Amino acid sequence: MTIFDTHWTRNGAIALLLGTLLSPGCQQEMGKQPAYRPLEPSTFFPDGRSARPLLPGTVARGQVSPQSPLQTPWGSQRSDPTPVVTLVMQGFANPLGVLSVLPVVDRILAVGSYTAEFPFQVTEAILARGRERYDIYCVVCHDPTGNGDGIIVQRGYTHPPSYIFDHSRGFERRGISILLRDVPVGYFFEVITNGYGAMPDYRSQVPLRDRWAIVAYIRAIQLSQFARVQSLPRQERRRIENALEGSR
Amino acid sequence: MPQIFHRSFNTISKVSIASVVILLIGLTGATYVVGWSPYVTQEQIARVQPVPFSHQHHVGQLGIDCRYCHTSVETSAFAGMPPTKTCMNCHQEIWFGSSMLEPVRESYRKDQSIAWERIHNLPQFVYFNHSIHIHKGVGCVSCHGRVDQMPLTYQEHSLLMGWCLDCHRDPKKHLRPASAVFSMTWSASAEPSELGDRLMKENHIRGVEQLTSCSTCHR
Ligand code: HEC
Ligand code: HEC
Ligand code: HEC
Ligand code: HEC
Ligand code: HEC
Ligand code: HEC
Repeated sequence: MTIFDTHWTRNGAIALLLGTLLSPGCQQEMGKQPAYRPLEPSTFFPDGRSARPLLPGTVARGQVSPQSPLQTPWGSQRSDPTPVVTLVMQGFANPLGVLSVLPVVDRILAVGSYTAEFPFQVTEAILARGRERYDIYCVVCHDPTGNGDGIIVQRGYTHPPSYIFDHSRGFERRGISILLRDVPVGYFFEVITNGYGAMPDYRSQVPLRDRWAIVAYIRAIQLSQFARVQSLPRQERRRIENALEGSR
Repeated sequence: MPQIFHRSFNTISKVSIASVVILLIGLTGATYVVGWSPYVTQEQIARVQPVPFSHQHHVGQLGIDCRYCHTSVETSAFAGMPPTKTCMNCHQEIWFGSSMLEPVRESYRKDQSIAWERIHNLPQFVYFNHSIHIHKGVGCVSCHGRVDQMPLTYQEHSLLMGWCLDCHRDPKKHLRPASAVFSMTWSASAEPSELGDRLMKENHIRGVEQLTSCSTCHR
């Protein structure tokens, strides 16, 4: 009686051996499926991106309407910029028409064309959200107090104006001298959306509602520097008084 | 019939049977050792990237929040990778002349994506979702380790099924308050010991049966 004279046993042993040897090497087809994973490179599209840019005019599902007050930094008297653009174009076509355009251009430049209202009720939760988002996206340059001494500025980035003590550089360039703490909220929204000068835009990183929440929080920073103890609710006043007493 | 085999073949056959058994056991063991080794799971191995981006520098030293770059980590399955524009927010001025950053500027000029080497890579039959872990209070550091100390990014854990299950069986000690999810240095030891129980209740963490059910991760 021998153990190796049946082919069955030998082949079985070899198959088992090979099977065990090979098993760690195989990641099944299920592990790598033809569907693209997010941002996976593609050989199909000429630019090599599987994540396709939106075609112009695409309306995304759940997209905020362009007419929504969430979308616009402008006040109600100029919610739609197209008539102004058309007027300006007419002005170029017809030199006399320029005269009729001038007052409008003036309005565009004026502080008052920016909305001074938030598109939604500002609550404590909104302020908390604004603070969180400000700490993520703005603090690195504007610093927690809004004075513009963030870490990136310390490493050599252009020094931004202080939200509290400085004039708006954007308005200054248009010949209007106004403190950033007096600028309407719509202007802040516009700077976040489109950037200004050395200030990068945050259009793609910060969604619409968060931009307004950040603006609300910046307003709170500005107000906090000039708040009077008397203006606080009684409870808060007591807290401060207690804290002061404690430190004495 | 004369004997074909010598007597000593009795011993030889026994030895060979035994050695086949031992060999099989050894091979199975080796399979696991190799299969779970960093060589296969790719843990602790830093990748060479088109730009030597350093989390140590940007997170550890500059203190930039994860969400500045990984913007979708709270809202979707995919954590999100920063487009070149995000780098240019700062590098349009900071180190603008540096040759190390030339691939970033070139990508920006030519509107071509930087091809980052993927580091974490679950097989596609596994469903993973960042947002639920973030919202239920699992910190980045629990799964990715001290990213703020990585000059080049690497994978801290094996990402094998057993690793996921270790936590899903008993997530309590891995939970942290919402404000600490993005912190690399927060530690539970400074907190009251009932914090875990409280977070389990507040965050409505489901039972072990559901979290270890196959269809939670294989769907
Ligand atoms: C990379 C650094 C950086 C970051 C991050 C940054 N800013 Fe700025 N910001 C600047 C600089 C620089 C200026 C000044 C621009 C100039 O003078 O050209 C500025 C100016 C501003 C101004 C004033 C514009 C004016 O008219 O004077 C506002 C408002 C502002 N930033 C808001 C924000 C908000 C809100 C965020 C967060 C979403 C933010 N910034 C993030 C660098 C930054
Ligand atoms: C300044 C932008 C920036 C910040 C801030 C940042 N990251 Fe990253 N992260 C990147 C880039 C770029 C990559 C791709 C290159 C690489 O892998 O190093 C990356 C890659 C990663 C990866 C590996 C992804 C893969 O390929 O599997 C992880 C994990 C990660 N980051 C976690 C974090 C965590 C956690 C934080 C916060 C503590 C953070 N990042 C903050 C830019 C950033
Ligand atoms: C919020 C600002 C900011 C962003 C966003 C940013 N960086 Fe940086 N980065 C810096 C600063 C500041 C330095 C220089 C630090 C210093 O001077 O010590 C730096 C240094 C670097 C360096 C130099 C090498 C080193 O020592 O680490 C590289 C490479 C680099 N960044 C790549 C990137 C890439 C790629 C991105 C986009 C994913 C990016 N950075 C996004 C601020 C930023
Ligand atoms: C429960 C564990 C866990 C937590 C918590 C976690 N990650 Fe991840 N992360 C993973 C896994 C697993 C992958 C691989 C996903 C894949 O291959 O599909 C991953 C992948 C990534 C990637 C690569 C891109 C992607 O989504 O595939 C980045 C970037 C990243 N994580 C950043 C973060 C940041 C930032 C945080 C904290 C806010 C975080 N992660 C928290 C487990 C985790
Ligand atoms: C450090 C702890 C931890 C690790 C590691 C971890 N998870 Fe989780 N996971 C959780 C917690 C906590 C929840 C939330 C449970 C709940 O909502 O009841 C969760 C939820 C999930 C869910 C959502 C379940 C649902 O019904 O929507 C999926 C899917 C999931 N995890 C997959 C994974 C995978 C895949 C891995 C490994 C790659 C992993 N997790 C690793 C802690 C962890
Ligand atoms: C918490 C998430 C999670 C749960 C629950 C889970 N798995 Fe997995 N499973 C994984 C991950 C992650 C992997 C991929 C491991 C790797 O990288 O090879 C995996 C891989 C597998 C594989 C392939 C192994 C291989 O080597 O390729 C099988 C088979 C499997 N799981 C079966 C199951 C079964 C059966 C159950 C239910 C009893 C289950 N899984 C529950 C996360 C999970």
